[in-house]
Amino acid sequence: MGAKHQNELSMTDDEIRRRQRSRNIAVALAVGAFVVIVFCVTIVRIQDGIQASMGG
Amino acid sequence: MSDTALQDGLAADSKGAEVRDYIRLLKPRVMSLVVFSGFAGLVLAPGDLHPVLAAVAVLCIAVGSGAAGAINMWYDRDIDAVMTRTRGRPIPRGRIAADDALAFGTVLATGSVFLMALAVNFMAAGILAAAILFYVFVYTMWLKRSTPQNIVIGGAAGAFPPMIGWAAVTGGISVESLVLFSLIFFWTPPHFWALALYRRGDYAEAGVPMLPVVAGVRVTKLQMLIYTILLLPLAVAPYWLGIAGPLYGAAAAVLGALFTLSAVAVWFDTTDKSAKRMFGYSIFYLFALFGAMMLDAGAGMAG
Repeated sequence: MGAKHQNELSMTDDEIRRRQRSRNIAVALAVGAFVVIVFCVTIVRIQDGIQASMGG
Repeated sequence: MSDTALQDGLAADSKGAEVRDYIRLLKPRVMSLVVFSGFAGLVLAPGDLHPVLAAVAVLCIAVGSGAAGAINMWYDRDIDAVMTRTRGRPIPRGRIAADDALAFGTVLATGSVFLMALAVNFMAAGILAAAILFYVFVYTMWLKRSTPQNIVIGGAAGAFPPMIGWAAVTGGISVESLVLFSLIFFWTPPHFWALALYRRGDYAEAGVPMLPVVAGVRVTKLQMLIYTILLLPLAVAPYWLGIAGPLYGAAAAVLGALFTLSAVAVWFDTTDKSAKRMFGYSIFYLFALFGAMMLDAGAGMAG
């Protein structure tokens, strides 16, 4: 285990930046997906509401 | 990073974390079974749910399950570091700081419950919240380290998903959804104890009072056999209730007989071989059971 941790510690700055960048991209995608989901849910629920108020 | 943190394998920050480390926190393999059974609840429930909302319900179940897994890994980081099976998890490996895992899990748990409440309905959101809270507080924090009945009672957390799917469509709880719940509830002990049998050294070392560690191999094998026998009539119940047709009933009977036979094989086996095989079969059993139920859904209610 010791060697592995040495490895983690001696990670180059480039490697750290590369990992940070891929984390940022993942967060961006997740937030984007969340916005799309909330938008779609809103549309669907408004449609349901309109149909219900018109009696079916 | 201090020297002790290094020895524990705990990171002070998550700078070295990769995206897949965060995905590992969500316990993807547990999630697959949770999603499948939750989806089954959606399919089997009478009534309609808009496909977009159904997809959101499945997503909320998946994320909620993953969030509970992440919080579990935060709390169990000390014993995870001791056990061979869990040593490679992101926190004991020093990839993700413990606090970050807790924050990650908490945000996702809250988000999934609120999205479920706003997009689907309060009943589904309420059961989802109950399942997450039960897994974190009752199973992980209380029972896991204190009683050999830990996974029996704690198994309830994993049994909620079909009830959540059912509630997403109907907005309520019914006999049928409770039967789906009890199927997974009675399946969990033989499933988990099969694993605990061949990992009992691990659990003993970590001080987790799993049944094989506390009561011995013999008692565990007997209990597993009893649960598989209890499951025999229970697995056929969805057919009697009209949730699924006779095809499912036959499939359930055969799958159940094989599950009981695998428990018998474990009983007579002095090595761990049969237990490993039974663990694998138990996963197939549950997938096949819910798969057959969905394929034969509603046949009993036709006409």
